[in-house]
Amino acid sequence: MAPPTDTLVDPATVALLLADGRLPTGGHVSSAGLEPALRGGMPAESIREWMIGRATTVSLTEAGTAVVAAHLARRSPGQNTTAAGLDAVTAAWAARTPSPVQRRLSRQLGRGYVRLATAVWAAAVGDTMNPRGPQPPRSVVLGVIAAAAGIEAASLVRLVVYEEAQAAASAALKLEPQDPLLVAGFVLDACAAAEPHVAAVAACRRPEEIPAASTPQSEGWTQAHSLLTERLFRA
Amino acid sequence: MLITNTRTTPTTTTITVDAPGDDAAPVRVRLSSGLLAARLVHRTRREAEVALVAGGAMLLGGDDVRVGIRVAAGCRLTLIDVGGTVAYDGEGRTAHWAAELVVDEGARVAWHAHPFVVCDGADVRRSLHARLGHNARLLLRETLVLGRSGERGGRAVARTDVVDPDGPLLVEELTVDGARPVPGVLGGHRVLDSVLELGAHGDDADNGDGGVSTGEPGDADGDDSGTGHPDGAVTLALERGGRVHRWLGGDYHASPFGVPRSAAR
Repeated sequence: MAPPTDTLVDPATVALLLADGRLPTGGHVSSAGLEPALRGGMPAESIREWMIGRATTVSLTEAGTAVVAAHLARRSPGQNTTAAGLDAVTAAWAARTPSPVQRRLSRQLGRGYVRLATAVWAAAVGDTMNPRGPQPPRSVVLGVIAAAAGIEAASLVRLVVYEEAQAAASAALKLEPQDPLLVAGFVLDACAAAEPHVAAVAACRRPEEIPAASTPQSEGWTQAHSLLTERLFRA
Repeated sequence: MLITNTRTTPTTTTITVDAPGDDAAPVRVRLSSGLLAARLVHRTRREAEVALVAGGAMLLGGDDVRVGIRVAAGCRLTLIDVGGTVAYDGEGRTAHWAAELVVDEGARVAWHAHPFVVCDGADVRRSLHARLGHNARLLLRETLVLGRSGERGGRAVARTDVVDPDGPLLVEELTVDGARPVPGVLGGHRVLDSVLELGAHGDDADNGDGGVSTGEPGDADGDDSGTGHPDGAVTLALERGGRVHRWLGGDYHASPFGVPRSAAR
């Protein structure tokens, strides 16, 4: 596997970079579903419980999608078979993401990661993505980057769960100002709740194995939120 | 209420609908009953209507209800429930309810299910797998109710998996526990009412599977939001076409989707 740059960077460092909210990939437009939840009537006191729920449902679908994409990209880097395989991963993700607003946002975030990937891991990533295939969501692009950077599957699952929880936490401080240290604790609580699922999600190899946990209330909130004229986040 | 499961009846119900043997004949229907009895209500040259009747107290812990449905190319099947399904306290045992549908090319299935009630103490695994052929269509009303009145409800894992020759259309697995509501999943709501329209869609208004009012204000195809129901229902436009209409609430009778049609015709 090619190192990500001429100088060898440890995969753990790349994972830190990808999880950093300051990375210029456009992640600031997403509250990871929190603004829709609060605007939909969820009380601020439920934020921690909601974050734990998300970490064990939607985040695991996103994480499983990234894991299967990484597995395909790792197995046959830069080949057409990979592109077809990744299209199947995108299809599996889309079938598990019934909210069109959520799908559109994930694809917008995916474009940000494609720009990053082609700038940094051009050789490893550029050939893998199918320009004529369905537009990949963030999780698929993240999987391809993880394969190029040598990030192992369990770390990738934790990265996705953490990134979503952190996105919600930083949105929480804008939407419902409160003690930032308390909210940081929520992030760790959410990650801890996902931990018992990490091994199973990291073991996913085929698109059919990607978790499909349904969140009807959140999906409804996301759709309703998209119709609001005054909002801070896309979703 | 505790009911001990001492069943010995076969558990699989099968329904097969095939094209008529000659032009003047109605569709051929083969039924075999398990825990759910299948009764032919009505048939025409194109369509069969079949009622599903519970053969006794349903579901008990340890029950394994299976329904296998195959509808041949160009045929139509309407399924109606006679009464809902109640999953009772399983005394620590899990109850399984699984439906497998094969809907061949150009065929239609409409299933107007009554509520599936998960009582306190119940632990249910419910699954519906459907394989649609080209231009096949599946319309499915399903309602999950956590608990009878005064109850919070037990545990349920409900998986829906629908594919066609081009890949998956909808895959979802709802995990709920009435004693531990999760904000974002059902929150504090007891009732999740859904209408799924999957496969070939929007091609003809008179498709013989009506009877479900989704309260939808207009055509949501191609509309990214596809929502805005005054009654609190939400419509989700799926990636590959097809729609999911959902309503969350506390009382089934308040659902904007109405009461499913019954056997009278």
